[in-house]
Amino acid sequence: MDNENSVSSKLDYTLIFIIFLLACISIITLYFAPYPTNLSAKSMIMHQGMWFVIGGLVIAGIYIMDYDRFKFLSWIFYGIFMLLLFGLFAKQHGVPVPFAGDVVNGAVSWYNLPGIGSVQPSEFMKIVLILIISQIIVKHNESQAIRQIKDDFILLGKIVAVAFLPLIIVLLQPDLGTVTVYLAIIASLIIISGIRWRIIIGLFLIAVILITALVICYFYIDKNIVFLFIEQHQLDRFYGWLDPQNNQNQEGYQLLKSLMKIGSGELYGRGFAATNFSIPEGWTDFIFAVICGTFGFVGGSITIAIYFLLVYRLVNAALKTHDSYGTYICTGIIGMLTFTIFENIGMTIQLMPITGIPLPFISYGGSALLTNMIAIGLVLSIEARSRQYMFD
Amino acid sequence: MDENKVKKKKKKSHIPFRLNILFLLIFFAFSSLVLRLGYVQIVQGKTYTEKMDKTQNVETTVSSPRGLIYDSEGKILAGNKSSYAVVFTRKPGLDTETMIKYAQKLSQYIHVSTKKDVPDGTVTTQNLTERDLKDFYIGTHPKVNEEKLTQAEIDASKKNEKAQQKAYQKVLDRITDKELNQLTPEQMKVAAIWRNMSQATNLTPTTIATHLSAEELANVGEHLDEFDGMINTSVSATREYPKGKYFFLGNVKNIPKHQDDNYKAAGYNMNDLVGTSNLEEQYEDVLRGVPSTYKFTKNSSGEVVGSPEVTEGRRGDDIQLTINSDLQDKIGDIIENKIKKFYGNNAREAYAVVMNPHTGAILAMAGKKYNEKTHKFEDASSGTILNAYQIGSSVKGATVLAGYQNNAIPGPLDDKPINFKGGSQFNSWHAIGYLNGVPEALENSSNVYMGTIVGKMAGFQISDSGSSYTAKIFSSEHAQQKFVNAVNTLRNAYGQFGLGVNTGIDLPFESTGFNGGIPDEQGKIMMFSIGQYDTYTPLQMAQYVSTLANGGYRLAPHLLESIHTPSGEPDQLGPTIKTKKTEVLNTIPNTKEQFDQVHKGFYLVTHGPTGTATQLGVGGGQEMLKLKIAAKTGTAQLAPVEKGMYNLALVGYAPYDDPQVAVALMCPNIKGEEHINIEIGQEIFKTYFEEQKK
Repeated sequence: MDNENSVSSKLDYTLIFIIFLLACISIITLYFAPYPTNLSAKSMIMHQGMWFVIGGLVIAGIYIMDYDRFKFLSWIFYGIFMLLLFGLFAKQHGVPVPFAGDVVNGAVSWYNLPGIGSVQPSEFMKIVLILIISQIIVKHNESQAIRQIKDDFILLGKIVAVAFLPLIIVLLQPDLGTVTVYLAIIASLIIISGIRWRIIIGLFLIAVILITALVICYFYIDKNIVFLFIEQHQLDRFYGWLDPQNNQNQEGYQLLKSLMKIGSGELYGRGFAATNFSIPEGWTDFIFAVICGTFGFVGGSITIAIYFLLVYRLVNAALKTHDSYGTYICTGIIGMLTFTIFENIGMTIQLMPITGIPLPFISYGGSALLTNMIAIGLVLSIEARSRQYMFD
Repeated sequence: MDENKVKKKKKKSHIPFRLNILFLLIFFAFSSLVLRLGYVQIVQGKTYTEKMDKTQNVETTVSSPRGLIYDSEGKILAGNKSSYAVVFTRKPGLDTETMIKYAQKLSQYIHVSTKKDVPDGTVTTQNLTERDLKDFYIGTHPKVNEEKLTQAEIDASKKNEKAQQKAYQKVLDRITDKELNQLTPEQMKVAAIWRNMSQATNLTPTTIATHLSAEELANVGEHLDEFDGMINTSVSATREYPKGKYFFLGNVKNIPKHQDDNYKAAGYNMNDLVGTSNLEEQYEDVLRGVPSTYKFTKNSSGEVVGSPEVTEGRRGDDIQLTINSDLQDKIGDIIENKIKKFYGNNAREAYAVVMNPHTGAILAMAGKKYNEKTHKFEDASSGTILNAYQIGSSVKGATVLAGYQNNAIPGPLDDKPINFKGGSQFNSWHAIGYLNGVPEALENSSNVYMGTIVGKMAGFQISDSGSSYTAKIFSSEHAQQKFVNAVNTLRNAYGQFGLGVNTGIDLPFESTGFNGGIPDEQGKIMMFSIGQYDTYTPLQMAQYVSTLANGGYRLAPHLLESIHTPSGEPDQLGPTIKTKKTEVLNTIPNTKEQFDQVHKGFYLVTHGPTGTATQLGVGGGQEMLKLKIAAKTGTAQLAPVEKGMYNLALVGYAPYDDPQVAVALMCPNIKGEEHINIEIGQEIFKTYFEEQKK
């Protein structure tokens, strides 16, 4: 009982306030966002508000739970979500699966649950991956008093083993965006796991060399080798990104519109006048362009600053906790959120190629928002419980 | 327990460091976001704003009625006739099928002509090209791809736009004449409307049919709601020419294909009508006016919403010409009559230019040509600026002044043939005898006098040998050079008067005549000096005689008198905006005394006892004497000499003591040395002064 009391008093109000600010930005921006005729701003804002309320409840629920319990639950979650992902995979290949969404252009990534709406298991898999990899690292590090280089490779192997299946299955969905988020989570956890720098740098170099080799293959040797790994339409994305003016495919078109929207916001934004200029996906993936177009550089940089504060609070939480499991979870969440934010904002301003990743806490969408709220719940829970050991 | 704690601490020690590294990376990543955002929004912001404004608003223009063209008396030469029209405003995303449907409906409401000779803007099936019909065939046969292409070709066409175009071309190629012939007359009419519609660009109101009757207009008006707001009725203006279409007015036509870009840059729509020749082209800027602007706004989905914001344009400014249309018409009649009179002498055409020698204002530029096939006279006024002829002795005024400029005027001279070593002879039309000086040389039109001038310039040695002169030509390099210089000097001197050069008239095109270069025989410079070498247009002749008349100022001839803002009344000129200024192109470096000599010569031509055109003076009775005409005739013998064909020219001005009018006249290809030029000249001067009295 004493425990519960102290937990509530140690709630990180700063972090909660940051999330509240982001929620406000989300609601305001959705008001200015362009919608196709079958959607209305009012209903979108209502829905998003509802999701924030549900998300708040989820945060509360997770906060009350001791995150240590996830050590036992995470394998169960892993099993459940892998099953759900397999279900989608089966549906994609023609097997009827109950509640699975319709296959559109050979892809399906969600379930339609009556009364709840569509649910994307690959979203929730992010949290599951964070939990399970954190747990693996903790267990591994506890069992190895003195780490040999061999142990580092064993740890790496374990991480790869557990992450491999979800990575592949989501890649086949195909949802490259989510896969890159998984990779960001894994990478941040590997960095923090204590694996030797040389191995990390080695891995990094291997990745660089592989990519370089592919590029050289494409331009100088045989394009078909590249097409074994990447499909033409994925390659087109790169062209659309690097030279949108001359590659007016979907990505190039989106990018041009996004740049026009953001650029025309100039320093202070165009306010209501900005609503006349529409961009595709302005309420989800390209919501940052709407912020910048409406509120200008001031609005855009304030949003980025708030995100930076958020990450700072998360790093703070990761440092403060004396429990390495908590630190790993926080780090995985930092990796997930930071990469998502960077990629999403980056793609709207031509810094990154375009992938279908929503902006955390601001883009419209239940699954992603819930996932992020769960993550915040976890961090709050870790923070609250870390202080008990403050002066031990 | 203790051991465990130690282990834990040791293990954790790497974490803060690595987390800080991670945080540093994140800091850099976020910084790069802000930097890039600043670049896009602040550095490039203006550019993107401009780009966005362009995509958000669509602006189109509709040309305003052109300004009117008046003659010097205030009569309308080019007016605007309003006619009922159907205007089509294509909305983005309109497909061929719907457009054909609209065309079908329209074909029930308006009459489509099947004739070729219809006014511009009338819908007619005669304008349809084979390509149009094929396009129409494809548009009306939705299954044409399946019929005309193999499955493989259809699949290939789906690849990209290029392949699609290729496939379309194949389909075009494979449509047979037989299939096109199956189009019924009704379908052809639909096609004719559809063709006009398909030339419209998005959101630009485009006239697709004009010259509609009130009934047709009412028909369309009743059914406007069937066209989704894309069809409207309006009143459009077309040119009308109450006094007939004078050539100098020029044409108003569709923008010539090769000039698309220039006009686009000037803010024209591709379907606008523009002045494409002569005055309509020259003063396009003035006559065009300010087009009305239609500003459409797009909503967030890129669809056009609401009615366009219209900024009314302004009708083009009116221009008044220096041309007196009555004089122009009367001169035309004079020429016709004289051609009839001298028909037996092969008179078939004649050209005349009447100019104010003090301003360069052109009062008339008329030409007529008898068409032996149709047995009708045709207006050939454009010949005054386009046709060039050898003008014969008319040029002698300039030759004499060139002689003064080069100190080559001989003293008193006995006019007798000049014999060249080698046998050829240069002489006057008859042995004139003793000549005192320039005036008498001009009065008698002495060739020998002119030959002596240029012979001196060219360095010939001319010696008296009793009944004739003997001219010795030197062939040394130095002598040859002197000859070449003489030719060039003479040609430059003629050019100072406007002969053989651009006159500077305010028309986009004029001929400068034929430049014969350096003659192959030195002796031919003498032919050059009597107007039988280079060729000149009647307009150049008019400029030349004006320059003589006003004492040495070469003035740019012009048709524009003044520019006026449109007035409310059609028959009344509005306030003047600008008056055409007299433009001196160059002055002739001769003294007044030298000009006086030439003026005296021209006076003697009409008033001297042996003048070549005394019918314009002493031989013309009291009537002619009153007009005080000074002139110079020209008779250019045409090769082959045996045929006896001549160009008969006349340049003159009046009154000789205070020239008010200069006239240039050319009657080419006349058999014999009949005086058609003098007779036409008489009439023109007479008519001019009669018009002045009014």
